[in-house]
Amino acid sequence: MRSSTSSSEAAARPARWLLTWLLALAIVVAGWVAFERYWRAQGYAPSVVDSLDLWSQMRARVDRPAPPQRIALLGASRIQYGISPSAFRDEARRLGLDVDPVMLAVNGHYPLAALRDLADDPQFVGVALVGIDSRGMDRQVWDMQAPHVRYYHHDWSPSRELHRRLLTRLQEHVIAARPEFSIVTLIKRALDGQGPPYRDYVLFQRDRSAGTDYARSDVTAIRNARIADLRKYYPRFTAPSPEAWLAGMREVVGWVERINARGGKVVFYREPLSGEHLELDEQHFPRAQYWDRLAAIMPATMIDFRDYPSLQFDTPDTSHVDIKDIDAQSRALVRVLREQHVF
Amino acid sequence: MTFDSLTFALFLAIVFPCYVLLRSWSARKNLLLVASCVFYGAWNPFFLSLLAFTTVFDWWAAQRIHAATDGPTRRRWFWASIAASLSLLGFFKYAQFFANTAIDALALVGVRYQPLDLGIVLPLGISFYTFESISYIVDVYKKRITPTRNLRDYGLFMTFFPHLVAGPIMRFADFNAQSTTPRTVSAEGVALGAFMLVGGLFLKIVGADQIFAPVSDTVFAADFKAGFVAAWAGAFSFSMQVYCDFAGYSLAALGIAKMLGFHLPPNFEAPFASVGIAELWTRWHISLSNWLRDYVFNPLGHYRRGRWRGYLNVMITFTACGFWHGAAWHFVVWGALHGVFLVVERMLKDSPIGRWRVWGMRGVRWLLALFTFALFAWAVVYFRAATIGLAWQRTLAMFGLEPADAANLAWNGDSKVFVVALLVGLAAQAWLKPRKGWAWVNTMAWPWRVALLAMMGLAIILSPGKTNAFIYFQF
Repeated sequence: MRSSTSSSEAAARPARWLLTWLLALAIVVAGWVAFERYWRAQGYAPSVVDSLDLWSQMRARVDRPAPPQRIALLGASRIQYGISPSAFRDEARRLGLDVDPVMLAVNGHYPLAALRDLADDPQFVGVALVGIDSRGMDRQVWDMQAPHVRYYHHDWSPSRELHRRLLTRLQEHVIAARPEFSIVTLIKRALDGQGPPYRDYVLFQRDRSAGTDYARSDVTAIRNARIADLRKYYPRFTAPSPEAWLAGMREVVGWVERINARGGKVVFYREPLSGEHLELDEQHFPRAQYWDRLAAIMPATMIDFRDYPSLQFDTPDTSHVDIKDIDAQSRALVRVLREQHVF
Repeated sequence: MTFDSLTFALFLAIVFPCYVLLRSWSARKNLLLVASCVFYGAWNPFFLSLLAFTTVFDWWAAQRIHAATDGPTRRRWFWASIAASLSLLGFFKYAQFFANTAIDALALVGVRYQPLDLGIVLPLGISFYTFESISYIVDVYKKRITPTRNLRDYGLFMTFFPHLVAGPIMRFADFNAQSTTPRTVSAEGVALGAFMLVGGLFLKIVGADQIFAPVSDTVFAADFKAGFVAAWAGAFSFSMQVYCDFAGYSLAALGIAKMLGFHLPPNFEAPFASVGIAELWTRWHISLSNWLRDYVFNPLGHYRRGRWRGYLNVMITFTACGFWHGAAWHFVVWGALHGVFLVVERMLKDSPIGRWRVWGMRGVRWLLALFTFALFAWAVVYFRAATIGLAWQRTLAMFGLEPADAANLAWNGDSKVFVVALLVGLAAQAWLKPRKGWAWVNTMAWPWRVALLAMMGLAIILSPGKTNAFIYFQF
């Protein structure tokens, strides 16, 4: 009797497991759909999330052989939030050029470590467009993007590449793929009385470019906060003397020469800036003593937005162009680069 | 690739149906071997050649040992194989450490060199597969097993993707018994295996990365001056993090193997419900502690040569265990601390104190289990901290000697979720302790099973946050 009961139980087990899995899957799908619908109803949308993997995916792309000519877009937020690779490519194509602009700028991180990495990479023979100002060339901040470079050389793998490609697809369509909507994070926010996630006004694309949509934000508050930060920062900051600064830059000259020797080119681009932000930067790094002296020794194209009327865009928060001006800036920059015979 | 990546989801979605569809056992093994090589090569194709070298060389050396008719020839092949395995491990894992230790030592006598960066990348899983190949060679040399003549079967033992990069550390005899007999893919095995896979991913993605990592990352940051509460919170949090991380990986590995019809030995069995560190090591990273017992502690003489020699053997074994975990002094200290705990525990058990009846009382055993967890947490500070100096600072804080400007952990969402999860985690371990293996899932009332599975699945899908690499991948 016991034996027949055991065998009937054993026979019933797969059916119970099937029921378990079907019901559990139904609950998971229903919960997921309800989660998506709720947050979409609150006005949130899916968005690509930038990461070391996404940076590495782009970094690998600049090593691919030409054509098209690879354009490595280096810099910090002003490039990442100010240049559209697709508009750049379109404008270049309109001028009869076949280029592939690749976004390697990293918000909040000056880019010289990435430039050094390209100089050390014999496979890179394209153009490095480096969005930077004199402060970003101070040796103290050279290594800000070093973790990205290190990750690319040590941790990037075919497996990570495929994972990132699939993840990007997911993030483009699913709110639940955004880390700030993690269920544990939402619980923690609720416990802290912080309410729903912050509505980010920076929107990322799969090519790592982004745009600051000031219509979705309080631009006055952002501008004031930025200036307040700078007013606090600069009194505690001692700018290197022009001589010390230039001495450091001689090492960078060597990197640029290495890229030039392989047939590549380097462009240093000082992006649009305005108001008190520009004034404070100028007080500590006067153009005549820093940027212009560098231009005299650097075997690269040097572009300061102030010298080109077509590059003078409004920067609502003093530091970044609005999302509606990104295409215009990208196209204007392509034309300037063409005029300067960069390509 | 890692089990928590979308790459692996795609990989399994391709490999598993192909495996099921193939009729021939030999074809299935070929598929598993190729899939395992893809699994490993997807991380770094170059290091696949290193794994292939170790596999082929040890397979060949084992044949030579078995075929040799005289002792010296057997010994030569044996030591050649051991030397090859340890040389590769030594170079990739310890060369940087030895170089820097030598530079530090020379600095003590006034000879100064710049620290070296050899730029050596540690091949994924090298510590695990080196131990597996050593156990194979030792077992063949000791005539415990007969070496296989089938390179494919040996290659599958070494590379079988569920256990390749972070264990469980398998023995050839156990694996070969399975791989030479066709495995059956049953509906129940697939369902339970997939359940275990979901459970493992839940522990890793939700437990380790989302709940426990934020607190331990805060407390173990170099510039955080932890007070008494914060230091203990960080130690408890990292204990749970490393458990969820590694037990989660192991559970997923067991589940995937079960789906394929294989049985891997359990690696974790409610370790934080242990009473005493000796019991803990029968429940924590079981495959490693068994390996150390069989290939280090027993060959050293166990306790056979007297009590004090036995204590020394324990210290040697656990110091080596620490060194296996990482090429840094703080790992060595972590291992040595466990050695000390085990020696003291053994001394107490052998003394009249060990015979007190009070130790058998239920309430006292609960207290002892908590004390064991606290000891583990204290030692784990030396595992987690980046330097011995930082670990020492946290140790001082844990014993009340906190810095004057000590910071305490904010009582915020991170801390509240951590405390609740810690209590739930410890209670779950107490509940799991008498239940061996995962058969209890089969006997669970199905509505509870549905609820548990749905909860874990939903939590995984809704936890897209920052994913940390599996901690044991660095070993």
